[in-house]
Amino acid sequence: MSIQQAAVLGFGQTRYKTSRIDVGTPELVYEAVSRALADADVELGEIDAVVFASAPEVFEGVYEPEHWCIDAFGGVGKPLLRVHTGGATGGSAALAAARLITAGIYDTVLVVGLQRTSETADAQAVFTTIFDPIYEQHVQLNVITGIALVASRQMEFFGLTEDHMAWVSAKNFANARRNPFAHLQLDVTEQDVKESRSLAHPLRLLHCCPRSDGAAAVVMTSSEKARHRSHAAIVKGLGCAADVYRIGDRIHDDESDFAIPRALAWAAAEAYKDAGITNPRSELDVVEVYAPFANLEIAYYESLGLAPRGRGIELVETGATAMDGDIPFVPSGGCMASNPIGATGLVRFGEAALQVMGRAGDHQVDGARLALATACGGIDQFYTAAVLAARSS
Amino acid sequence: MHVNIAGSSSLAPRPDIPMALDEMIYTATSHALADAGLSINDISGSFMAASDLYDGRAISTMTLTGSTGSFHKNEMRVCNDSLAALMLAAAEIAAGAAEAVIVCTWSKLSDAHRDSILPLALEPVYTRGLNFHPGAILSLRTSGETGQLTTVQPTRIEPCDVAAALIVTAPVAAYRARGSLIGLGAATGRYLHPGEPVLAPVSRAASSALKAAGRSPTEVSRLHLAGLHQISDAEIAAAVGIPEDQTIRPEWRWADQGYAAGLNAVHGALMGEDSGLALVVSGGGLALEAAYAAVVEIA
Repeated sequence: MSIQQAAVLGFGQTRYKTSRIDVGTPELVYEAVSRALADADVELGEIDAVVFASAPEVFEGVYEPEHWCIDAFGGVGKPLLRVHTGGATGGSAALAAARLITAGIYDTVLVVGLQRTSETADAQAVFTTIFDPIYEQHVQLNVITGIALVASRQMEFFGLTEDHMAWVSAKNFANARRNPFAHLQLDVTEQDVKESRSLAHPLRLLHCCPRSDGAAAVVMTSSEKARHRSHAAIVKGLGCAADVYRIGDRIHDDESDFAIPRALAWAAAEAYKDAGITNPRSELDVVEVYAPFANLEIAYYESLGLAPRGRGIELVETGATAMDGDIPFVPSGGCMASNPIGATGLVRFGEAALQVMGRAGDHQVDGARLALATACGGIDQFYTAAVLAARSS
Repeated sequence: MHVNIAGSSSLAPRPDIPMALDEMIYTATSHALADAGLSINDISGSFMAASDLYDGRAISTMTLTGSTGSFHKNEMRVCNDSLAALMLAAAEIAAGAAEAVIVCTWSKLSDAHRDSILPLALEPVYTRGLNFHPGAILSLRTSGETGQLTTVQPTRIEPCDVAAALIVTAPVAAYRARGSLIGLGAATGRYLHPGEPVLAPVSRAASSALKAAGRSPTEVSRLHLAGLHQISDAEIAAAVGIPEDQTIRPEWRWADQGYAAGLNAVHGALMGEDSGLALVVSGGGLALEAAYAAVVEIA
């Protein structure tokens, strides 16, 4: 990486719900930003620039919502950029802020993530427009049916079963109960998951994320400036990669299969290289992945280099990714328990920072010093990856 | 900060470019690469500026990985004027994370309905219901500043199709240098509320870009204007501190280029005959509250 690194000073988030009818959109932003500034012990006047993460804006029903919300994050007078890479938006925004800092363009950057899907009368109508309008839109593929296709391929490719997916769901919902901000606070057994309503075979209701309203904010600065702060997480590595759009082009070639997202592997490899990680399974202490469906988390075990080809399910079978396993995944409950889409990647990034700062509360992984956060956009198409480290790592 | 611009390309704004969006973008990016003497294999990322609403699809960049050159590479998209994408591309290079990247932008309003989009920028609870024409906001803001009734001429800003691309590189001998990007700035003003001059964000963005470049307004030989349709050259020049006779407007002044305006103005600066220091400023939003600026040293 470059001469100086970026560091996280503070993280704030709102409670996530299907509809945060108790507050307006700017108030939702204010809730997260004020918590992040307090957590970072930073005044608004110390913020040099703002990166806003919100997408697609059709969900809010407001064109350029960052302007509407500007008083809620103190952006008047400051440089402001809005990042939009679909579901990966929050991860991309953190990456953009880190680059602005490491390049020396701005010293201290506030990253704000917002999503208010409840403003949309029919979120699926919005999602349908992400597809190619000439050849594919009329097929009415949606995110759930698209990921169901992935799950079907995973069953064939590496032996994914309903038991594997049920274990991941039950694990993540149990983790979410330790996180006071999580949207779904469910007491769910593996049997409950297997008996939940079928949405698109093989996906069931409890394999899938909710739609959440919510906001998150992160305060970042240079590692030099972070040296004298009471707490900070260092951004050790960053990666980002995009795959081709058409699912058919990703079904199979010599290097990969549709079952295992190769773009995540590319992004993670870049982040590991930056961070000097050569054996992620033994070096990472905790992982906050953006996995809105249970089957995707299992595929990510392999993409992230934590399991050999076709063997990601062994991390389920051995319980390695449980809170008491050797590499806990999404101790916050993750995307399956709360999914404010444009902000979700930033929540993963903030949660990873909390872990290595030892400030994750009841879902803290003991002794966590090196964490990975990811974000995903499109139908398994764009990925970001960030490695965060405790200050003395 | 110092990065180079190795190549550029633009499809000049027209009411209806008879190409699919993918073809428009591919034409811009491939010509920019050719102008730089590079191939897609020399590029490690694509930085885009585009609007979903203008493109008519949520996550419109999903289908464009081929034409934008982002497949198997870093991808970043902003929903601001394309000078913001240029800023993130420059940051990527200055941070040592890349040596050469594409910056691309587009707008295809022939596939959209501009008059339906801009009112969506109005705050939805109190203001949108008043059914103001977006242009009225500028008039109200100006009235709020001066304390006098102000009428903004209802000039027709023409929807257009446009695409542009730049190749931005590290300042190393391996790449040609059509120009050098030596300063970038941005500033944001109030949303709907009066309280400062309408051009205050433009002024702040320009001065911060010049400060970053270590240059003064007196060293600028050309001021290139992007967007800022309703404001006179004289007012902008005064706000930026540069003589009016140094301002350059594109011949398509009244074309709504959306987020593509800034990058197209940089392309215009590179295509000009003069070497020297060019300052590019863009202003967008309902009342020009979003401003970006770039200082380019033309080789």
